[in-house]
Amino acid sequence: MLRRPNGANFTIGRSLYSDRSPGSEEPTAKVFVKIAVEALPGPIMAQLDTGAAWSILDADIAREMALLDGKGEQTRISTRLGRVLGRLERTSLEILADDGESLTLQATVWVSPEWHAGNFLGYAGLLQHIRFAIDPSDNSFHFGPTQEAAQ
Amino acid sequence: MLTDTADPFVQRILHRPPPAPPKPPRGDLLLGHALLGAMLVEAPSAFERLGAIGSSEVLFVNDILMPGANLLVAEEPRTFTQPAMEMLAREVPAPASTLAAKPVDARARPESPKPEHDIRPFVLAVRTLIENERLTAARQMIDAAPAYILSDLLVARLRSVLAPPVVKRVQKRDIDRSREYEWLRTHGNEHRGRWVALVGPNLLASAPTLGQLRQQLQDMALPNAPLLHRVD
Repeated sequence: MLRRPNGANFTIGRSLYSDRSPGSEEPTAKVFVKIAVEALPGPIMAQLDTGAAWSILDADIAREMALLDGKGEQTRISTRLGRVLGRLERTSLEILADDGESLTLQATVWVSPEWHAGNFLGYAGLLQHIRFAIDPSDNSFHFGPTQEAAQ
Repeated sequence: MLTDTADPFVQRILHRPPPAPPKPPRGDLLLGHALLGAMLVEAPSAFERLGAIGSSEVLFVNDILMPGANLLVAEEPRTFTQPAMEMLAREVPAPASTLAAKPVDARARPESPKPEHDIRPFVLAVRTLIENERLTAARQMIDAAPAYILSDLLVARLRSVLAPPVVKRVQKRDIDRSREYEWLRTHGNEHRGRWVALVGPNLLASAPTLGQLRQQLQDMALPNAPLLHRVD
């Protein structure tokens, strides 16, 4: 785990990230980390997107989580596919660790039946509230709670 | 821009003819209009100067946040003697032509000992910030909202979606997925557009939808939780 100079933990978990969307023909390197949601029997991949305001779940996953039937705040977001109408829903997800501890987050995600372009962990609604670091030398994703968020 | 939204609540607000409410006394607590403008400038301290704000007739929230929402902004501060949602439910379903032909009868509103404040400009302003992905500003506005509107259903919903995540440590680990990633690199193109379930280098199931994939997995004895992935 990463530590501060004074010995205090900076992060509490580490996982191996994929720098490509696994199996995709997309050539640009990105960071895909493992997350889990209660409705699914195994982990899924989500792209770290520090430029995104909201975290996004693919419609297929949102459907399995029964989030598409929610009554959350309706809003449009700007995406690479244009402006898309969806809803903001509060839900629970986990950032999975291979070593150390995982994190459970009760957070707001944007979902839409029209969105089939993958999962994203956005900055303002989620990443802004955790610590994270990447080590491209071995594709390690380090993460942990901020001091105020730690419980 | 705002009229582009599909939110029926906002649409109703934007197309609703302005009511003719009674004037409040000067200095009355005012939620909408000038107060919102003040919040944008100095959100934390805006409520400390309610008296001065309440008497202001200069409205600039629409210039900053809602250039297309002038219908909402009155020339003077005002309060309503009915809850906002009740007014909407009663008046909006009627066609616009009917409303136009029917003069507003302010006396029909029963007197209330404690006037309700109009939360709609506040809600619309926060929604506009959300649509513009200015989440920090939206959170600051919600955090600075006076206590008497926090119980409103719409405000509570906005407050909920804007709340920071609750983060907890959990003693749970996944396995190393490097072999799954490798499998996807070498075999992914054979399953493009489909959902796959992998454990190590083994493909457990493949299906066109996640629901069908889950059905296939239900009857399997799984050594480890499979990585689920749609190959794009």
